[in-house]
Amino acid sequence: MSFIYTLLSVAIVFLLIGCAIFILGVKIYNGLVYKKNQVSKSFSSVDVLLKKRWDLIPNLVSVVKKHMEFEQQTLAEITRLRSQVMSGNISEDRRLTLENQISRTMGNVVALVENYPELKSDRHVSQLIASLNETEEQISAARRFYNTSVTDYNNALEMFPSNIVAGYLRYQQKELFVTPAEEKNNVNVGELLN
Amino acid sequence: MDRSLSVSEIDRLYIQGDRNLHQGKFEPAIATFEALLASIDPDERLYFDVQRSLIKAYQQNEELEKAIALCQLIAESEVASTALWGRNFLAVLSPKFLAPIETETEAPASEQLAKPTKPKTLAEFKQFCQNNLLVELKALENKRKYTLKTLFGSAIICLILPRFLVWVLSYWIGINNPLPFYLLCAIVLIPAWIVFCKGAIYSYRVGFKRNIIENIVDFIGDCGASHRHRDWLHYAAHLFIENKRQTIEALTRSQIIRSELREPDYLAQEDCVYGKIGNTEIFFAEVFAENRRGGHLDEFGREKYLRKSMLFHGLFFEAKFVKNFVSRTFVMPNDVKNNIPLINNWRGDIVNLEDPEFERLFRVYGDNQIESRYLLSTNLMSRLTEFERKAGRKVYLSFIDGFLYIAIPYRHRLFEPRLFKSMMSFTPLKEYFLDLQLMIGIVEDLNLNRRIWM
Repeated sequence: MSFIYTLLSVAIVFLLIGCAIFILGVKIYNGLVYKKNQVSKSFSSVDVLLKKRWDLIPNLVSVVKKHMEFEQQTLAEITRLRSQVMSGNISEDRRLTLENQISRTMGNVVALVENYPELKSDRHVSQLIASLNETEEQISAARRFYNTSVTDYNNALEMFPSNIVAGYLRYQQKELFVTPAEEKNNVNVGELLN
Repeated sequence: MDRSLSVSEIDRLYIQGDRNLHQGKFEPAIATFEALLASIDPDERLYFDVQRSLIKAYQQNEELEKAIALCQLIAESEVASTALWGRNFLAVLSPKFLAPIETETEAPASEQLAKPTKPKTLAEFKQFCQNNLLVELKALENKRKYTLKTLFGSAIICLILPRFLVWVLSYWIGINNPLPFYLLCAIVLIPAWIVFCKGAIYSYRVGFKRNIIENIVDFIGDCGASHRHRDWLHYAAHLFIENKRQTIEALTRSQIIRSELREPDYLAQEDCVYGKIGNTEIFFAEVFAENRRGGHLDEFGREKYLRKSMLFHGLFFEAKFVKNFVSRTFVMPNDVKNNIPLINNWRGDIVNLEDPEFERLFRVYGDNQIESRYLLSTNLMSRLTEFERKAGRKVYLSFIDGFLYIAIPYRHRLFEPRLFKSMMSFTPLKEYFLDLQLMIGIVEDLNLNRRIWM
């Protein structure tokens, strides 16, 4: 009789441990899925804002090009970059590089507008630049959110015990948005004018 | 109207006039305010408020000439902030009173307005006190000593009087046990003494705010003659009706103290500073907000409550924020209460930010992760960290409906004259100065004048 009781007790203990492991496993699995989806969600937020910026570019270029005769090269560069991004058949890495280039070139255009008093005082240009700067700040915020989500996700992939579940699910580490080296330097307006 | 109107009668009439004004009944409002002006002393605390409301009533009743005449009278007032209001409102009434634009600098007005304000140093403030406040401080110190003497004198009389009465009564009647008589005296004299003390302290405080605090606000807001935004700050020891209504709404909307959009049952505000610093309109005041339950009238017709609980006491700041946003973001002190997700989930999700020092000091909740980060740029985070250190207290912020709200709780009353400390000492003045400068300096500290588009 006592043997049956012992056996039952051991079975209950194993059952409880099994339940605990199952609950923990479900929790870890759900956590990982949540983090993965959070990364996708944050990336799509960046994407939405980048598209918002694309829409502003043609307007800005068309307004400023008649005044900025000497910066036609810069304006052509922006249009070329935008067309490349919009073509769609490029890799994610290439796209990020192009977006960074657009950011930098747009920054140059805004800096150059300072040299054209008639442009600076134009209400339409001011509004466009305001929208552009606002969008740039939103993009920056969205990138920060993306980086936070990716860091959380990558941490979960490396930390115990979630790394076991992640390994089983074959989840891969994701890349952070990194500021290119040339963007870390201050903009040299003098250089832009040459 | 009789010149000897009681304070409550004046308040009642003012409220009545104000209500008429807001209901669009301009003629009765004008009649009430004119009658009030004729009956109250120019030194009364409400005199300027009545003048201001009367001008607004004239303006809305299309009696512009009368409004301008009264406004010109106010513009010549000896009280700096009153005169300032008059000058500013004259420009509203008629464009011919607009101040000529200074042509000494070529910079556009918007850039000029946004020039950074140089914060005043303690040494400058000390010099200012010696040059400008010494006479008022001496008068206040004399008043303080007199009040203290009155309080102690009356206390001694209250102690001696029962003994004397017992002596007289025992001489004439012969009392064996004087204890009941002493108890009777205590029941009568202690409340009478408390009422007397309150009156004495109230009369000691009269004029303090106008003579001292208002001058300090003017001093901090003074950015030099070359700045066009000088003279844009106003101070009012008390604001009435419409302004109080705005504060109630702002405090409720800020959701800093609680989740429900329910107004506090009671709100009082003192030491209100409002106006423009650069391009940013600000308002801040010392606010007391209470929840009250079980209200009833006692036998004397006074309002009594079974339960009162303090919702907030401290400085409350409101300013239009430069960025456009639609979601809510809360920046709370990183204490135990604000770290329990269960009681904070109404504020939204936790927003983990990159600045470790900021994360150590604050806990951020928001409806939208991206918008919260858009508002809390890396620059603003470091500025907030610095501001918290400067304040040396818990700082609560919320970004809601395009506005930034800041609440800094205090346990003690602010900007009140000291009774048991000399007013000739620099310590209390330094406290007033630092508290006011902390709030007025928010615009510079958090860079609220920065426009991201230019």
